[in-house]
Amino acid sequence: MAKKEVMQGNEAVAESALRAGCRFFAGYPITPQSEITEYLALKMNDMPGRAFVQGESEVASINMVFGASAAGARAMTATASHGLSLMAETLSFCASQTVPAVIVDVGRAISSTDPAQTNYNFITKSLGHGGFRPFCFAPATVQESADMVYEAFDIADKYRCVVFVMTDGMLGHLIETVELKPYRELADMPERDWAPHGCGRGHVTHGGTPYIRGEALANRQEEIYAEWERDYTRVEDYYAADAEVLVLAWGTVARTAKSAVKKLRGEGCRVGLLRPQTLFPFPNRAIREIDERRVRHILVLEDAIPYQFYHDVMYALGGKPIPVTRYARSMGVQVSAEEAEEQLRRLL
Amino acid sequence: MEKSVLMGGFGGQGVQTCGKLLIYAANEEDKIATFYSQYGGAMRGGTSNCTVITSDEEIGAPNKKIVDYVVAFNIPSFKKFEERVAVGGTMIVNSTLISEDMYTRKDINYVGVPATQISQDLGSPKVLNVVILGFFCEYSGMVEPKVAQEVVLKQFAKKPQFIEMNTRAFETGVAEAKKAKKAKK
Repeated sequence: MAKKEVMQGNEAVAESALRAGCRFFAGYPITPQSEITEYLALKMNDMPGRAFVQGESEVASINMVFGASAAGARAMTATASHGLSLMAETLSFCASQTVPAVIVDVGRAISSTDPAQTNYNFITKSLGHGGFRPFCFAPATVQESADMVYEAFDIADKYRCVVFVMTDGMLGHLIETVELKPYRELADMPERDWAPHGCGRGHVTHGGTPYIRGEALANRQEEIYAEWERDYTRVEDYYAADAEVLVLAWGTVARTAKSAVKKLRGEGCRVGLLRPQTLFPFPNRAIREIDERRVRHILVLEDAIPYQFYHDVMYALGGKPIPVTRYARSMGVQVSAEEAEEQLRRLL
Repeated sequence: MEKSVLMGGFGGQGVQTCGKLLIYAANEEDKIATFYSQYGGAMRGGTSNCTVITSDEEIGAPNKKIVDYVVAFNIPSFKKFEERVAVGGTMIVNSTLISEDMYTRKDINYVGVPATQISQDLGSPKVLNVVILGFFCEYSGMVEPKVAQEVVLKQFAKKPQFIEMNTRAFETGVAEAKKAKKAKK
């Protein structure tokens, strides 16, 4: 009997959400996300204490997630790029009302259904008007997608915030071996004592029920972001410790680049990779601590033109005297391992 | 060690299923594995291909361009993917449809299996992919043929009427690969 299961990225995300205690899902199909909605449609309504709704649109779906979450249920939706744009208003409302939500974005290009990383700015910079920011995970494998969705619900509950898991069409459709975490009892979920329980307990709610209001709420967000940066920032170090040429990339581009790094390491070249696993909080410190006496060149790769991730890297570097080269593909074309290798060879 | 195979054909030939059965078998052997697929919007008759990689350590790019094996189910995939075989790698062709005079490279190995003919002789073109799976597992050693055969049987657990034909298809594929390996020596 095999130790692991074979699952598609999207299916693993859906199954992992159920295991994490997701009680409500509303979503609207869109390539390359549809398998998440499909998987949950087949399964969720047969599970006691849970509900699945296919919304009539993305707008309806995120609003239902808001409602379910405000009423106390762990709730999630999933979409892809264009659908995310439609959800913008309610994302902002979730944030300002401190109503937790988990959102999986399976990124695709603006011009086709092929994978892309062009939602980077949209997700990491601000949840629409108000400028609140979500926690953002960036998995690179099916295993990591499943694990991060599992953890996302806990972070959403703890900080009463929106948590994104940002995958893309390649990762969503990729099939890999995966080990899923166990099912959690719905009864064991952390209690949301702030959720309205009807007139009996005297709670009245307007939308959500922010625990603080006004400027205090805004200031609290800054404290949370600082806490995230201190305690939750994650970055994978792949042969980076003694690297002279260092790749910075996230998600599927980073795992693709690993092939190039591994190949060049085999030839004795000192190349390495730093891969942010969280994009907000961004690993500013790990980048700031790159040793300019050892690293003589940085290569930033992403599936996004105009460049997005690149600018965060530059900000984190804070003017360090290390030359930075950027290379990207866009509109559904992805950076390949061969291209990453070629770029690295030019810098060696 | 990492091993990779790219399978290509037209929609309906069972390319995707063939690749999926392969990754299921790799998982039974507790290997790390990825399955990456591309297929056209039109199902039957459209283009269809998948890349399966197995390894005992973490796999980087799942959509490698240069692979150890290419399996061409039909002529268009042969033409399209011949260039993607690594130097010294192997191109496995469905020799019912692809003839030797189409081979263009000197730096790779070619091996043919008359998979379409075999499947027709067995009574169903549907088992084409299982013939090829049996052949590929035995020829490449990427996964143990026995393990892959069990996965195939498990797949048809709910449709016992298909088990016998698929077993024969798989075993014929394996036998053809044994012959091919002998001929190579």
